[in-house]
Amino acid sequence: MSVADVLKSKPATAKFFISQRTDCVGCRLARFCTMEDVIKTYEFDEEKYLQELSKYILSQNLIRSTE
Amino acid sequence: MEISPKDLKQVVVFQHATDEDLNLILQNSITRSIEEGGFFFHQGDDAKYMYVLTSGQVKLMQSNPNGQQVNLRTIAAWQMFGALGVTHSNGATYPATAQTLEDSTALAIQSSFMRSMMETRPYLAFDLMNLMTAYIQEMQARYRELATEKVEQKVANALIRLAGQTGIKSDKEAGILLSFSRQDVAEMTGSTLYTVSRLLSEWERQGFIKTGREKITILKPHDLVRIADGLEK
Repeated sequence: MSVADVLKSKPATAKFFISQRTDCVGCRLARFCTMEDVIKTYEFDEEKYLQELSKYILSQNLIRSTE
Repeated sequence: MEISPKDLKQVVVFQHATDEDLNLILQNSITRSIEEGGFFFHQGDDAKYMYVLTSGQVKLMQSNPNGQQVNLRTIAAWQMFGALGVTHSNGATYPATAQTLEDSTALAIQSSFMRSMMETRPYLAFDLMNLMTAYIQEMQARYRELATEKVEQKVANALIRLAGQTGIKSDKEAGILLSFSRQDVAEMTGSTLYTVSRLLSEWERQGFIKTGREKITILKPHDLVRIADGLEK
């Protein structure tokens, strides 16, 4: 799943990307990057990053809204 | 504040001046104090005086006919500004506006007086020339930065546009594949093949892209976007 797909299916994740201080929101190449690429590019700690993301998704009830 | 010849020695152009010279300069000048946000002179005014800032801070700015402003430099205490009238015998106007950034005081020295002093004191003229050449070199460096930055951004933007429209993500190449040649990119950006080749080689060396025959692969989209947006890499 590309960053563009993530942002398109769950626009509320924009806040998460901004909070992590990445340039993904509005980036013209977002459809070519996976979440893995983001973690690599910004040298995030993968485990910590995914934890933060899960926490954000849960706090925003993003999963329930897909049903 | 009483200004002494010793104070004036701090001014680059006056570093070789004698105490006698400096006393003469002081006798032929007046002190002007301007509140924060006020102006010592405006672009286009007659350059009757040259100034030495004795306290505060002044910015020099230039505007185009549409009113867009560019800051040229900031003047700190004991720096000279508005010296253009010294070298032009008559009719010179200030090429920039001098606005104070805080309450400021400056010594205003008559341009014509300063010119007559320089005619018989080459050390003053040489020090002014040194200051002028330093300014020119600074401007040349800025011009070069602006000119090259623009091309760099243009080319990066072209690659990103192409990627957005026609790029194919290739797992084999671990990047975004573009089927365009350097010549195509040169034509798209109104640039030369030489310039595009030089830039692409530099980016290839840095590992941002890979080039091949009629193809360019973007390996680090993030870095390319940063260049295109004019952000630090």
